[in-house]
Amino acid sequence: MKARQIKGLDPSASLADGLELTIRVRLDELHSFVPSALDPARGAAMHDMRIAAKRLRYLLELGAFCFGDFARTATKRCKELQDVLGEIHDCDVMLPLVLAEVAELRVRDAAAIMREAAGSDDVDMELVTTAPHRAAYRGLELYAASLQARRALLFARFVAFWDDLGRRGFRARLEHAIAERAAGRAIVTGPAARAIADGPAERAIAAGPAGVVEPGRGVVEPDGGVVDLGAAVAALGAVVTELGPAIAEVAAEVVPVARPQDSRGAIPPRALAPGASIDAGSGDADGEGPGEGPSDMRPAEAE
Amino acid sequence: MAKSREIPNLEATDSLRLAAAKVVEVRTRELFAEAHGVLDVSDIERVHDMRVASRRLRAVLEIFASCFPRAELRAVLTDVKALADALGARRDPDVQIAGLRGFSQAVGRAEQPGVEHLLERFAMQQADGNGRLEAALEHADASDLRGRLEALVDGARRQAAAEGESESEEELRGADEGADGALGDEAAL
Repeated sequence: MKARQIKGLDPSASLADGLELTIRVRLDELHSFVPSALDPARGAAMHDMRIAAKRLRYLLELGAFCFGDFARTATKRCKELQDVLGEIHDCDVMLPLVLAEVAELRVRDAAAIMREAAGSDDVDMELVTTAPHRAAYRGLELYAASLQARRALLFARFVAFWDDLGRRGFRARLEHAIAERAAGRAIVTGPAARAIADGPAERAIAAGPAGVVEPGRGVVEPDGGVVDLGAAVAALGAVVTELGPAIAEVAAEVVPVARPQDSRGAIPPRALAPGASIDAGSGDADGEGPGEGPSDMRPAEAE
Repeated sequence: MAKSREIPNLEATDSLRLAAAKVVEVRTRELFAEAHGVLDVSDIERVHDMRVASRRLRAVLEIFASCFPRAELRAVLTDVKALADALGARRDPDVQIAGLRGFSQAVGRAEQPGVEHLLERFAMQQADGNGRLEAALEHADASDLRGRLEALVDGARRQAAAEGESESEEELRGADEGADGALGDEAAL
C-alpha cells in the first residue's frame, strides 16, 4: 500500500507541527480500511491496514514525547494491532502454501501410480502403496486445518480489538492529543520538565487533554477546577511561561506553542508550506471513506 | 524485537530539518548496528531486528522527505527498500520454519513425514533468501549506502544551521561525536 504523500511539508516548521499533520493523515489512512478489513475474506485489506498501523506506530514512536500520555498509549495500541494483523497475514501466506504442496504431491503421486499401472485398464488398489508421498498427507492436512482454525481465532481477536479501540475513542483521543498541545498550553522541556516530579505542577502540566493554560489563573481543567501554577512553580523551581511577570525570568526553558484557530475553532496545518497539500493518492484502497469511531467521545483517563 | 533508540536532544520545537538530521542519524546507526551476524540462520532474531531497523529508517526517510534533496533521497530510499525486501525474503521462511517446528512438537509420529517434507521446502527458500540478502548487503557496502545516508544527515544539519534553526555548535557536532562513541565497535557491512 502506497502511503498518501504530504506534499510541501515545510522543513522549517516545528517537529511537533509536522508530526501532528502527518499523524492526522496516517490515522485517517488507518481508518480508511474499515469496514473492508472487518470482512474475514478481505485478507488484502487487513494486510494494508497492518502497514497503515505500522506507519502510524513509527510516527508515534518518534513523536509521542510531543503529545503526552495518550500518544504513548496509542503507540502500544498500534503495535498490538500490527501484531494481530501480522499473525493473520502469516496464516494467509502459509495456508495456501501448504494446500499447494498437498495438491502438488497428489499430482506427483497420481503420476507415480499411473506409471505402476501402465498397461492395465484400471488401477489395482494395491498400487496406492507405491505412492512416494503417501505418508506426507496426514501431517500437511492437519497443519492446514490448524492454520485455518488459528486464522479464524485471530480474526475474531482483531475484530474485538478494533471494536475496543472504537469504544475507547482511540481516534478521537489521539486527534485530541496531537492537537491540544497547540491549543494554548505550554510544552515544558529540558530541566524544567525533569524538575516537575510530582505535586500540583505535575498535575498542571499533565492536566489532561482538555486542560488549558490561562494567563493569571493557571490550568483550567475539564471540570472547571483550576490548578494554581504559581504556587507549584515557586515550590519546585519549575518554569512556565505566559503566566505572569513573576516567572518571566525563567521562561526561556518553556516553549509556548499557542497558535490561532479559525472561525470554526479548527487549527490550520501550520506545517504545510503555502500552496502545499496532502495527496490522497491510493491510500484509500477500496474507495471507501474513513471509518468513524464514536464522534462524541471525549478524552478520558490515560490508559 | 529491537527497541528503537531514543533520539538524543530531540525537541518538539526543533525544525523538521534539524529533527530529520537527528532522527535519520540514529536510525541509520541502528540499521548498521544490526548487520553483524545477520546471515547466520541459527539465530533468526538478527534478521528480524535488522529488518525492523530498515523499516524504521525507511519510515523516517519518508516522514522527513521534504528535508532532503529529492534525487539523493530517492536513490537512498530505493536501496534501503531493496535491503528491506532482501531481509524479508530471508525472514519469511524463518517464520514459516519456526511455525512448522512448533506444530511438529505438538503432533505425533504419523504427522512427521508431512512436516519434514515442508521443512525441506522452506529450508531451500531460506537458503535462497540468505543468498539474496548477502547480495543486498554487498550492494549496500559497494554503493556506500551508509555514507550516502550520513551525507543526507550532514546536509540537513548544515542547512538547519544556515537557516538559524540549530541552536548550538554542539548540535552541529552531534553526528561526529555520536559516531566516535556509540559506533566505535559496530560491525561495518
